[in-house]
Amino acid sequence: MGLIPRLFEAPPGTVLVDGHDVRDLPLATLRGAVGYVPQETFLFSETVGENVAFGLPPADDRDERVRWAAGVSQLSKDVADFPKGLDTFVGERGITLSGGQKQRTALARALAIDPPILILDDALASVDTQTEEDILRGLRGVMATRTTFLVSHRVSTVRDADLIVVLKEGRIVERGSHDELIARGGFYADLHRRQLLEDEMEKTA
Amino acid sequence: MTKPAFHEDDPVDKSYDRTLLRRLLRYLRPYWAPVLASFLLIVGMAALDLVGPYLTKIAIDRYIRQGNATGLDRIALLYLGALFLAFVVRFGQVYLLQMTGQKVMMDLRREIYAHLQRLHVAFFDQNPVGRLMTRVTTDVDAVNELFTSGVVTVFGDLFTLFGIMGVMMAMNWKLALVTFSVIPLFFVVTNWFRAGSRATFREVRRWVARINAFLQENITGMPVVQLFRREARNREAFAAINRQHTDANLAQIFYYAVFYPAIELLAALATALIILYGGWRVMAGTLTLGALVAFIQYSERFWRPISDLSEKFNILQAAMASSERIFTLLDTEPKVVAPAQPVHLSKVRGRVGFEKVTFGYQPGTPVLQDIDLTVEPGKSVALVGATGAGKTSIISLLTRFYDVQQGRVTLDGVDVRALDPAQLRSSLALVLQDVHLFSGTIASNIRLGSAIADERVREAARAVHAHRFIEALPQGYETEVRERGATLSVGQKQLLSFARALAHDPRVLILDEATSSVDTETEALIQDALKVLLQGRTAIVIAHRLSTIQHVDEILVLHKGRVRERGTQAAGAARPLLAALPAPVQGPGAARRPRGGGLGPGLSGRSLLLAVREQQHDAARDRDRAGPDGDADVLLLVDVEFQRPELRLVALLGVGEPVIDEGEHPRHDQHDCDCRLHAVASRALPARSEGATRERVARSFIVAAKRPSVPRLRSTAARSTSTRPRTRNSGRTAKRPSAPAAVQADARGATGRRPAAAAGSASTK
Repeated sequence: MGLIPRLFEAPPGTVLVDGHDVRDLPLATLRGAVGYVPQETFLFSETVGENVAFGLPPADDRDERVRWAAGVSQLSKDVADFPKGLDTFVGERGITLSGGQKQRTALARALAIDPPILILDDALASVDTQTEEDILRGLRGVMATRTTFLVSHRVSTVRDADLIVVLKEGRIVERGSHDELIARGGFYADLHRRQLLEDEMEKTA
Repeated sequence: MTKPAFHEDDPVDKSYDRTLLRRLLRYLRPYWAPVLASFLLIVGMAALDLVGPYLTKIAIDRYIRQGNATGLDRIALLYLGALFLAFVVRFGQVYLLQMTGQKVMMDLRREIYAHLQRLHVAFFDQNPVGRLMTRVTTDVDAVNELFTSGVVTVFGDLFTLFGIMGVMMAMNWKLALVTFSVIPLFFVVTNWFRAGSRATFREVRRWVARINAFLQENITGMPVVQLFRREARNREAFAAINRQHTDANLAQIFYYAVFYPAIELLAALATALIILYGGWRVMAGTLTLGALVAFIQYSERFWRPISDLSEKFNILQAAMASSERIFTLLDTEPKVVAPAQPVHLSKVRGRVGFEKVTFGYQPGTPVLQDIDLTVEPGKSVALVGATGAGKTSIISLLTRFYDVQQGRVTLDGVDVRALDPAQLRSSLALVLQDVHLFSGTIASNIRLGSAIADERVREAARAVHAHRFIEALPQGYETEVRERGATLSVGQKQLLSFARALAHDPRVLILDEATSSVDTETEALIQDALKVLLQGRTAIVIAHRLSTIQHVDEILVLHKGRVRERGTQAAGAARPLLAALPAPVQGPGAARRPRGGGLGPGLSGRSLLLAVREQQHDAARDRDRAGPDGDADVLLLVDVEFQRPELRLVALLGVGEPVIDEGEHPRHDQHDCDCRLHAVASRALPARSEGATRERVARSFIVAAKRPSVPRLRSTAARSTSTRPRTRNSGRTAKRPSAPAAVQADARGATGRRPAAAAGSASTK
């Protein structure tokens, strides 16, 4: 995933965005088009609001976009419990927030810049399935209009994706839609069987 | 800027505090001998400094003016000798003093580090790493300045000062007084400089701290900065801080730029006065020319210690501020302290209790409220709940990373605050999501400093399936762990942490299960290892996996810091189904011990529920596979493919007779399977029963579970107690007679089809 916003460099002509080699695109344009939610959340020791607005230029609609992003990412629920709302300070590297809250903040941060490409790099791993579902439901509308990459070990996260790519040891072992992969009965189907159950259990809990 | 005071390293607003100095001097006490020697040397040095001008005076008055050249070479030799001696003395003094300074620094750093280790965890939440690092490094260095160029040297300077004044007064008190007449002016300049430079000096330090904090955060978070194209704006932010830093430095430089020339001006003024008044006296014949030259020389040396003192003032100030910060840190009382007279448990049994516990990281915002929880020795409880529900906090209270605000946490009935922390923590093992590996070998990471024999390290690793991957490493157990184990996979690190816990054989295991998924194979290994780890221990597990939850005795569902549901009630929505379940069977001879709302011992309602639901899922799938023509009423199917052969056992013990479908997936070797089965059996059986009886009963169940032909159920009639293994306590069924029927109804309802068994696959096996 790091190859798309050129955090890492791929060989020339191998990673294309809108048909252009990412190396040929201006870095600012490329990265401005990508909303990235990293696996490990890094927040700055500023307010929650400032963190969400991290990628936003100072503009009039800033607050509005922050609120919108916080809403979609389900962060606003948490923020409502904070003493100073969005103006609550995040301790050094986000220590006053729980793991899930940090991740939702990172998600809101990525959404706030309204990117045509959204990358969730295993970003929902540390939220529980219920929250994940809420987030994904909120994201559905947002995802409809943009290219989204979802990296996950959970089938529930990726099952609605148009294309599911199963990677194993750096290679693509399966690809297709959820139904196609299930029908194939391979690795994905196996994973699915397993996780379906767990999700079911979680829901009853 | 509305920055929090989080990173600020503001100098403490106190300068020369006598108590502070006294406390600092205490660090010199072990080194009194070199300090004393250095002090004597510095006095000698000051004295030698006085010799030069006096010799000049003698040379001029006795020899040069008398035209007597014979003794001049001797004087010159004496002068040279004095200078050489001064060199030797200075060398000795500097060396001794610096050596002492280094040793004091070493002591101080050691003390700070030792103190840091004693501090409560909450302290580290409030104090960023960077700041604490500054204490141990920069601040200690500043204090060193105090010792090396401060305290002792100041005495030297003062000695030189008074020595010169004495000699001058002795030589000619009138001329001396004329020279001293400049001193008041000198004080005015010095005071102005001191006040100004102190303020600017603090500014500089504050901005240095800001720069450090900013850099630390931005370098660590560079990927985020780049991804969100904040480079330009953060560059601006940095430029702003940087500019402030430069401005502060420039302000400071202004004071220095004025001070030194001003001092030189004053010195020149003094010299002018000496020449004017002294020259007049020489011409009047009341002063020798040699004395005048000596006076001029003395006067030059006179201002040096004074300006040195003023300059050192800043160093001393910084050192004082640093030492105050160091002492503030050293004086931070650990909030979590060992009791004066700790209770020592002769044998830790591992009973963990939470009694009406209320706790919050910040006053007024409780994270946990009214938590009541008892975990009997050897039992396990799973904490389940959304993020922020308080799961981790419960663990932190038991380990005494934090202390409760209300209520109490107990180990074997004793408040953890009354226990010897060493004993408390040695009876606990904490296995965290994020496995922290230290630099060192794999083996040393399992040992963690304890004296654990090689064999036991290996045994532990073997038991949790870590042995195989460790052996595959280039140097096996002696392989160096690099970069916090970057070369190991998440799963391997998990297994390693399990081995670590097992090797320490704690009475109480605390497990914060990793959320990150691992590949299925490792997952199976981890689950298996987990069972080994849980066996015979009190365990508190923050569970994220169904398969883990299934292995515990009780489940606590936390919601916003309160226990929302527990044990059987955890089943919540599925209560009707649960209520329909028969209680797990007691072994013969075992005392009945209703727990968890009558669901029986060992396995809680939730774990049963989970088991049942999983089985239903399989059953439904197998029905589909068998098609509508299946001839049997299969109630439950257990699939070995799910790597839970113990489900068969669960079913045998309490639910009903399953049809085993293991034909296609003989994945587990016999030994693994036995271990697992054994673990389930022994946990499902009441803890109070005799060890031997329990063992026997467990074995009989296992045998039953492994026999493929036995657990098969075809009709409702067949589900009567009579078809169940003989070992059952039939009295139980009277309580919940309708159980299997309810389960069946549920299963059928789901598909709207008569459940058909994969009977073929089971029976042909």
